[in-house]
Amino acid sequence: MIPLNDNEMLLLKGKEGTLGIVKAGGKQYFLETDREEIILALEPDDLLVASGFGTDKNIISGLKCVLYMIREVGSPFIVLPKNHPASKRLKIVVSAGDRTRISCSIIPGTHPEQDILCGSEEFDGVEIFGVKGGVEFKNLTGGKIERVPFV
Amino acid sequence: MCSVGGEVLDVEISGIEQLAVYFKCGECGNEFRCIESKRVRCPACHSANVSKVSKEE
Repeated sequence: MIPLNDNEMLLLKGKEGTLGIVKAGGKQYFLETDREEIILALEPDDLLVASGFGTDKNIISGLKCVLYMIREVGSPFIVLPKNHPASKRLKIVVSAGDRTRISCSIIPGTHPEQDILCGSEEFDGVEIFGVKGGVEFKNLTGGKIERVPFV
Repeated sequence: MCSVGGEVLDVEISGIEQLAVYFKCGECGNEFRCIESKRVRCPACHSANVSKVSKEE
């Protein structure tokens, strides 16, 4: 288990992609679709996981910014409808819950599961669990983990 | 919820909608949809006095 508190962000840096991970903090979050609002009430040790393609400073700042906007500012999760043109513009996407699975082989329309997050190939199959006081990884074979200040 | 850029991001969200259930707040009467957990609170008045309601969709 890798320790992580509410004031820290965990970075998993690969060669092509980076993941940013923070504790959800037991808050309520809002998922906004084109039809309705759905509330997501998370446990304190659940996680917000942001996935970005790239490893440079901009991506890392972007990961922190996106997670900060969601957790600290209270911005909702925006769920774009299928066929929305903005889908191909996004550089960072986010998953929330007690478990996230990273996949680099998501096929449109074939994944009813809600714990999959798109990531770079090197992290394909990695599972991330929010556990008491920290984070656990399964199937992690590469990458560099850093704990950095978040708030 | 997924993914990064391009076609792979163009996914349906039916799974999320299937997980969500209706709740009604016992304090302010607000009805809302929520993915069930132990920490459901009314988004309007923040009361924890909420209960599941069945509703035809």
